[in-house]
Amino acid sequence: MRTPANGTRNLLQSADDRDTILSLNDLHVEYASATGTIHAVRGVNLDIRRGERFGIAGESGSGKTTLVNAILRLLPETAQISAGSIHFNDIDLSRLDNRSLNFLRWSRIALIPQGSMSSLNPVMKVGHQIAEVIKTHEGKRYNKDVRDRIERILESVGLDGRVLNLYPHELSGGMKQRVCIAMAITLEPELIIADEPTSSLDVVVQRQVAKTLIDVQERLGASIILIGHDMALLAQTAHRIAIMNEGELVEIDNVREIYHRPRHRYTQMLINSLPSLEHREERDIPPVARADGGATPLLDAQAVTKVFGYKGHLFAKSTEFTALDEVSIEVTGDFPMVTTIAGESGSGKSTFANIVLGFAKPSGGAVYYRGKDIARQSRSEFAQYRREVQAIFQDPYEIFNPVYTVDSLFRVAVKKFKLARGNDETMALIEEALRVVNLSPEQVFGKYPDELSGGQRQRLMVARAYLLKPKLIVADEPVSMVDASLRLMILDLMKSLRDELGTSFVYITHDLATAYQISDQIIILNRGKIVERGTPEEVIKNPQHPYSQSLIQAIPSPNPDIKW
Amino acid sequence: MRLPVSYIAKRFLSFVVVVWVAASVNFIVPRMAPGDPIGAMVARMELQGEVIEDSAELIAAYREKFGLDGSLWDQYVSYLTSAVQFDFGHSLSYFPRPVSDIILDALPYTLGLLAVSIIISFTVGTLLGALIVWLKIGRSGIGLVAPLLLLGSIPQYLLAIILLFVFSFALRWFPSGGAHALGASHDFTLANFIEVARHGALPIMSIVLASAGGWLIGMRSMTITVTRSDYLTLAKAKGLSQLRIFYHYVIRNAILPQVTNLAIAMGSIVGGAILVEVVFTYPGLGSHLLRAINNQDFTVIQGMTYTLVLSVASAVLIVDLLYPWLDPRINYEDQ
Amino acid sequence: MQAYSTTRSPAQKIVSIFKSFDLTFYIGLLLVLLLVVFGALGQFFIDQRDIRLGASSFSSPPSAEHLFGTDALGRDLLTLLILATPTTLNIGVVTAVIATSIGTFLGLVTGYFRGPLETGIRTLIDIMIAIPALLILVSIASFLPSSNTVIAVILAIFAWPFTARPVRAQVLSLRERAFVKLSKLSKRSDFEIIFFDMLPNITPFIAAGFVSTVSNAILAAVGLQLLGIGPIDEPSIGLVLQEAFFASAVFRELWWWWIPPMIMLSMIFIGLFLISLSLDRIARH
Repeated sequence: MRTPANGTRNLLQSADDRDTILSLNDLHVEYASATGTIHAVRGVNLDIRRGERFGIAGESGSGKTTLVNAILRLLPETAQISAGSIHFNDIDLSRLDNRSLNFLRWSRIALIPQGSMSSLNPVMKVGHQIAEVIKTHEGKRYNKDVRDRIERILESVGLDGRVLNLYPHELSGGMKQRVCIAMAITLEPELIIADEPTSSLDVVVQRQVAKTLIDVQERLGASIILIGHDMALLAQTAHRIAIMNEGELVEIDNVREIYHRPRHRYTQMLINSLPSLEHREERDIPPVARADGGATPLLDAQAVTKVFGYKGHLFAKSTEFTALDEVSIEVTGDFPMVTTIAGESGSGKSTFANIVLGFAKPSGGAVYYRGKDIARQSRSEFAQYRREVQAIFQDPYEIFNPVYTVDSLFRVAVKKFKLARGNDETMALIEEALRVVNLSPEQVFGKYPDELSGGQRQRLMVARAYLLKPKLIVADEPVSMVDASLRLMILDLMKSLRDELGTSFVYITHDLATAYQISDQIIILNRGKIVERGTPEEVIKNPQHPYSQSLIQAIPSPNPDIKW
Repeated sequence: MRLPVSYIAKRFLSFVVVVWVAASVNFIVPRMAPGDPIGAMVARMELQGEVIEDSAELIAAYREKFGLDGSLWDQYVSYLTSAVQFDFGHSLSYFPRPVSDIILDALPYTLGLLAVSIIISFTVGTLLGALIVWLKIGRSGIGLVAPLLLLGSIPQYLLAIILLFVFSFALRWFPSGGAHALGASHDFTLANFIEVARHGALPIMSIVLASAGGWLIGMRSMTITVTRSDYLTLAKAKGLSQLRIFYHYVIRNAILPQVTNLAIAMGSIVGGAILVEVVFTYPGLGSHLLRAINNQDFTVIQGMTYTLVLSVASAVLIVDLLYPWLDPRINYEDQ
Repeated sequence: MQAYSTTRSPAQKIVSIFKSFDLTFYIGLLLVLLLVVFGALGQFFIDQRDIRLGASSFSSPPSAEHLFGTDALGRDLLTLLILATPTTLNIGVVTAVIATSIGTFLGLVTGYFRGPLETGIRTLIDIMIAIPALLILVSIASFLPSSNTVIAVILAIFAWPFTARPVRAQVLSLRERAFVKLSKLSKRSDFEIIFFDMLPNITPFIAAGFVSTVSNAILAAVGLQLLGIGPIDEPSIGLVLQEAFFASAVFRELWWWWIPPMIMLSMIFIGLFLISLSLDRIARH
């Protein structure tokens, strides 16, 4: 075993007593599916030490969630442990009877579930959901003492004790996550398994919740397994990390080794695909101005305001809220550029995208495309605007209508914009677009969306944009749900569209790290207002507004040497 | 719990509108009828040799009730006023008995029949639907309840005729009609109770067998959804007992759409029940309605339909008002 | 010609649709089709005169001359039932065609567009669903002389919200999907989006709704007959059953009078139920 170069105190301690709490030996898990057996976990060997924070990193489909479910014996009916053992202390969990298993669950091994948003029983008060584990495992009724105890636990994770009287829908995402943490530590377990514990949270809350988690874990001295896809987050929270790919653990080491000296090729790819906040490639702004550029900006949003909701009436409270508040943004027509609009959920960034694309009308102000108010275009101006302003969207699955084969996405566009005459010309155009994204027609034509991989669908989306050769593409979170390798590819495609077709981008994202890498200007929105704007260097390295400062500070660095 | 004011207000409004529609239909329809139904009826009765002593009085009462005097608006207002006061005038065939009197006689039977059969069918169907999924009975389980599902697709009144034939005519296990033995006292004794139960058994069985299947299917698919939910996974990880998970997690969540559907189905359940009464000559609103139709007793028909709509709307209102107590999210979903 | 197929022929599409149905669907279809064939082909073998009052001997059991026997009025029951079948099926189909068309259209429109008109229709739908149609129909039918067509139309007036509401709910969730935005970006009009993007996605829902509307309409129409306020000028299965039941056929051991209409109605209801069960499964898939 390697010795950590300059290991933390915790790591040295756990290395000293060498006490193993969980040990997986050659674990295999198989799923029965319609197409045959899927070998989801293949021969995993792993030792988790007492008191350590152990990270398991992997992309979607790597088998990490299956691994967790196998440890807790929560596998669905169709899956089974086909070989190997899971030893918790001296107990083999894979062979434990249900009664003993239920006794052991939560009192000694607790779970912080993936998707905490939906993990609480919607019809039960938070306090009762915590009280029921006390009742089940300690036999205590929900009385004053138990109540006080629950309040104390809730307070220990940074919540108001009165939260116990609320229902889950009355809590914010961060609060629900904290409730799940509180629930997990109620019985002071020896091992906590946290499956993507913060992946659904905005970055500022994510940091707070992750800090709380580390804090309670250290206080209890419990071990914790952190499952995640975000290498940077794991680098900041775990002592050791295992990299999982296609059901196998390809590398296990302490965080510094993984980051500075990855040995396995897959690990190297993961580390290399991480966007960094430390340095970026400076882009040479092309000296040649666009022929049609000049004085008029390509896109000019002037004091755009959007108010949603209804004014109240006799039986309903007013639900009005301002999603965008006098937002002014200019995208030059002189050269192609990427403008990032960044913000957390609820910042108004997607509303802005919808207004630029003409899907929503501003309540105040106006958006001008090449000098024309998009809400007041003539028929021919509208046709041109539709042709020239396109989009790339977030969810790779829902961009396709499930009842049509994927090529209809292209055919509709070709037909409506009269890009080609006849089938041969259409096919030639589509094939050209597919080549740009490295897809062959044989791979995708005549296929339904669910027959393609997420990566293929996302690339088709880019190919569609290429087909129309637009002047402006609104990219609405195009990489927020995709794996690291695909993210890199999409961002590269965006760059090449910019450089080869001269397309400008409005890049809508919550991810400042990728924004830093590809943007020419960054705008940060908070609750509908612009709080920061400037070049990437200005915004990331020297933010002026306290909100932007907290936002940038909250971004975990993949380099474990940079403190979070 | 915070009171979901806007939700409650909407439910009450819906109740008022439904009852208002029923009353208005009752007001409009006789005015659209060709000729003079009352005159025609009196004439026909006289033709059949019946002596109508109070025929003039009867016609006057009818004209007044149907408010054929005054402007249309005045007639409408006075009609709605009496509908609110539950005053439908006098029965034509049992003149001068007030319609409300006949309704009040029949109402307890109908309400009793409905209450017992809805509670049984809803409980049994819902519980079976949840158990089939929870106990992982699978395909063979569906086989076990298949008869119930098929019966569920047949209208209650067809099932009633079959049950009448099998259990009353062929096997003679149950009486063929009525709610009591003829001439029985109405005292509350065990013997009377058994008598009432024997008379109610077949009508109740018809409604239960014909509707339990529907509740079963709905609960089954909802339970499947719940068993795949994240909160159920967490409940298992918490080491809770099976019984606790089944009741507090599965049933409590899966039953919510069932309750909503109960409110929606109320109208067709009541509609079906009055036909079951007709088949078994059970002395509720249905049987009285049939007799009124045969006698062309229009005031009674109107009173009956109005009362039935009012019962349905009240039952829906009760279910709707109980709903927020089951689902704390209601106030939020509403917006 | 390319090596890969880009589109599928209509014939292939139809074949693939039928492949997606399960056994349940085909059993249901068989039950309903048997009746359709009975009603359609039967017309060629009957003589209208056989259903005049007293055309034959009263209440005679099935024989070579009267395959289904005769009723207490001396009418040939086979002839009567052959004439009754199309009437009964028609009520269901007419109601469902009207209700499904209106319901689908309003469901699509109110799901897709926002505005005061949409709010109005949505409120109307909510209230209409709460109105017990059969009871209102009893009130109407006991005053007004009615025909089967009038009954079908009235039933449709009360039935369309039961299609409109689920269609609207589906559209509400579909319109949030990115593919709708992409269609807009491809310059498709709202009309094209509704009919090319939304409608194909909810066809199974509409089909399932259509089938249950047929079933509910027949249920209500037969119910009106049992109450004695259905149309009496045309024979319908409900009317035959009503006459049999109120002539105490059940207790007078005139089984040939009441059992055949019972079986026929059961075939309709069970058949339609099996079809809609199968369509529901496809819709939810």
